[in-house]
Amino acid sequence: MRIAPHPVLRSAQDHLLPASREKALATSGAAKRRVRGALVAMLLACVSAAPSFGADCAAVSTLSCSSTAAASLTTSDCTAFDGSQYHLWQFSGNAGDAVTIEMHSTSFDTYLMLLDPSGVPLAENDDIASGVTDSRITFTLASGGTWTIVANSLAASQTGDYTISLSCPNVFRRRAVR
Amino acid sequence: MVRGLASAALVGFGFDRGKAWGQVLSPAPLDITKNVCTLTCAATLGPCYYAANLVRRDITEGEVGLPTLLSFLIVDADTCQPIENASIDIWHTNAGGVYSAPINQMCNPGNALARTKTFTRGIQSTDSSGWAHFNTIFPGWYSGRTTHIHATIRRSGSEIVTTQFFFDDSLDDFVYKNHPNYSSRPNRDTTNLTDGVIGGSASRVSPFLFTSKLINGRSLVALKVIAIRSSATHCNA
Repeated sequence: MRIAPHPVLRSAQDHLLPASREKALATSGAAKRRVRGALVAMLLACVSAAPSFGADCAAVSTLSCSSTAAASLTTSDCTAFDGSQYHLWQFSGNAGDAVTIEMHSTSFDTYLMLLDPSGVPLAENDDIASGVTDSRITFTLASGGTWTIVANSLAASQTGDYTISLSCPNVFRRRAVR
Repeated sequence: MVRGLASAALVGFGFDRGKAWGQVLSPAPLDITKNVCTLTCAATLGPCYYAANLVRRDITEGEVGLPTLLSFLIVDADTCQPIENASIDIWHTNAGGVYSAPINQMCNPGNALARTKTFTRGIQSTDSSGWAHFNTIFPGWYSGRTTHIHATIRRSGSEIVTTQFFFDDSLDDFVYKNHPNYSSRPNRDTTNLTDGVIGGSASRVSPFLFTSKLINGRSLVALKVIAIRSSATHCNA
């Protein structure tokens, strides 16, 4: 898992997650075992080298293939231009990898966006299906590198717990062939 | 009846009728699910169209600017069902407010290089769910017009409607004043309400507005539902 260090981190305080998110991460199975010791190394990065302006969200978590993480959106999290809150999650992938990202919440209407390694938005989803407010993106990566998932609430003032999962079936198939 | 059909047809494709998809803080929140099956009216073609016939999703051609995913859902205005294999031909300016291609020189005044290019022009066909997507950059402004995207919709090669779409004024201003690829020209002279093609009132502009999500100040998704009929559209903006 590659994480680029944030170029403008200046203090230890910059390395701290919002308390709500740390707590949420610590409640997930895999993260619970790792979150204390590896928090700093695991969770912070800068999204990309693309031009940055406006509200910049520097906190980024990582997500591995075949993993599910739990987190919580709060009003103190990064805020999009429409007033909604979001988290950034990153994963490494290769060109041709097929990935499926799912976001689930019983607290709010989820919204997903997928950004390529340059920060270009290539896919988005609000609702998986009729009557389901969860979100899902299935996408074949066009290039290798660190991709970013935007885990967002559909509209302002929508916060709460959620889970996010990443599956990459052909990555495991490729490993199995080797 | 139409309302019911709309729900059945659209919710499965990313919409949930009766709620906002991506509200913009100011002015009043926009609900993309309103009037999604209302016929999309025509707006002027303008002098900057060029029949480049470039079928491509990425239309940037190396132009720099705010990365933008434009997603269009084309539906039947009578049944609200998604339409497959409709083509959408779009064209807009680069970050500097300049059009490409050897067209009327008012579209790229004094810019010989732009006349040799075909940036920010492209055609896509809708998939089985009615969607077509373009990877582009946010358009820059030029004097006398509000920020806009031109589009022509065709079915089986026949033009159905040519129109224009707009972004929320607050988004336009935010990008022009803050993004490094636009901020050297922060003060546009025309807004949605003062635009000569579509301006005059918020209600007149509203049916032509994208719903948008700007994340981290550097990744924009803008979405528009286009409702058409099988024959040419005669309502005008």
